[in-house]
Amino acid sequence: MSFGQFTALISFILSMGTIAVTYWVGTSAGTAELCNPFIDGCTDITHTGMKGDGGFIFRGGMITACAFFIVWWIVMGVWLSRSSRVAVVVMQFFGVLAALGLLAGTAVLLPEKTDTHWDIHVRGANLFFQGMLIALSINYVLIIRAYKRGMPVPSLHFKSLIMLILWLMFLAFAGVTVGVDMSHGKRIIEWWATLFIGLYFLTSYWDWKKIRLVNQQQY
Amino acid sequence: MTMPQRIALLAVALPFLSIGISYGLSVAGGHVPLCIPWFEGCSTITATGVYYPAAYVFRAGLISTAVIAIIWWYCVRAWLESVGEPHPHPWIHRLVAFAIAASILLVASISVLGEHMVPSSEHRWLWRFHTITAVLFFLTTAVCQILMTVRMRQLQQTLNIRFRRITSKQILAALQLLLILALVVAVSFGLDKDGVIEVIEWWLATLSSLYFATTYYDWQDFRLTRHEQRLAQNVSAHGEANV
Repeated sequence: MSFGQFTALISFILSMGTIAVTYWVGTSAGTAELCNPFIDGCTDITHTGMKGDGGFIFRGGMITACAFFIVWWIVMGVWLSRSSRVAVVVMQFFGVLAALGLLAGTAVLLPEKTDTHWDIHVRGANLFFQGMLIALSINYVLIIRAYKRGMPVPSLHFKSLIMLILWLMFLAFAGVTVGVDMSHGKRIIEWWATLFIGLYFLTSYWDWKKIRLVNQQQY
Repeated sequence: MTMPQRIALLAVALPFLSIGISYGLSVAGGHVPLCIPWFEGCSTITATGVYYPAAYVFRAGLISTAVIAIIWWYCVRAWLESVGEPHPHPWIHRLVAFAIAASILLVASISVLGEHMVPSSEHRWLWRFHTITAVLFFLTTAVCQILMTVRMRQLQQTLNIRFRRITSKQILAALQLLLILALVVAVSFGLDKDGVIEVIEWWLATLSSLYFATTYYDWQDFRLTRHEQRLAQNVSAHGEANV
């Protein structure tokens, strides 16, 4: 497995795995409501990862995942190294900013709702969703251009489908905005948007077979 | 600067900054005394990241440091495999696996840390978990760095390694070994008073972080790249040379 594939895989497994394990631990311990959150929207992602052991897993796992998201954007920059330098830098800026937003938003989560710095958490989570949408959109355009120039993109159809769904959700619900107490519909959108962003990260696994760490020194 | 070089620098800068800012915030909040902890041992590293807002910085910074450490060890494996003879070296895999496991323990250790652990008498299990995982991280990372240096020295000829900076690795590894021995002696003979353990902890963490930076010069030609691009460049260079 190349370094690029490792980054794509770990970014998906860590983010989605952390949310899944946190939700399972939270519902087992009675700190989160049991339902199918993708359909019922009985809880938002944040509230599954605040109290008890679920909170420890959520904070540790999501901060780790955010650090890997930053690495994912660095790898993406290497993969698109033949694209416009300015566009790649702008894309990476928004991608890294989004990851840092979620990192800060997760770091301030505390077991008690009243103790949590909601201003930082809400801004961080919104920065993640909106920054990520901008970064992924630029990314998608750059990939399409590179594909037209002849660059192999095995995951192009999958990426196209995910981008379409993400933009439809964004337009239909006037953006994926996170708040302290979210409406039923927004909770459902939050779960799906997170899943699709995670899947977008994963699709690069098929594109990055040759993104490797190479020693160019001659021995 | 190559991506692995950035990782080497981040692996030393990020923990220094995170712990430094956390320590400053904890001192400002009156939770830990102001001193030079490397010499006076007035506070443990953990104590700088218990109270908020220092704990937020500590949590974000040190968990990110663990990720950087994981990538650093990944780079070490790829780099050592790329030099010398092409046959696999199982010791690299074992060493890196242990070191990565240690970094995951650091994530677990920091995740449970916070003001909710105060008073410590009511949260003994969490404190025990934090202490065990943190100690395992420090010791395993130090031992892996020491073993890495020893094996690199032993295999210098076999691997055809031209490590110009192996001297700094040897010094840091030797100092870490001395500190671990001092720690064992201090705990065994009941000398763990007056901040002795704290001083050892601060130095061990510092030396371990500095060790990460020693690969900065080794990795000048070691980069993350689109391999087919590299192959194409080689082929065209070869073609031009032949012409």
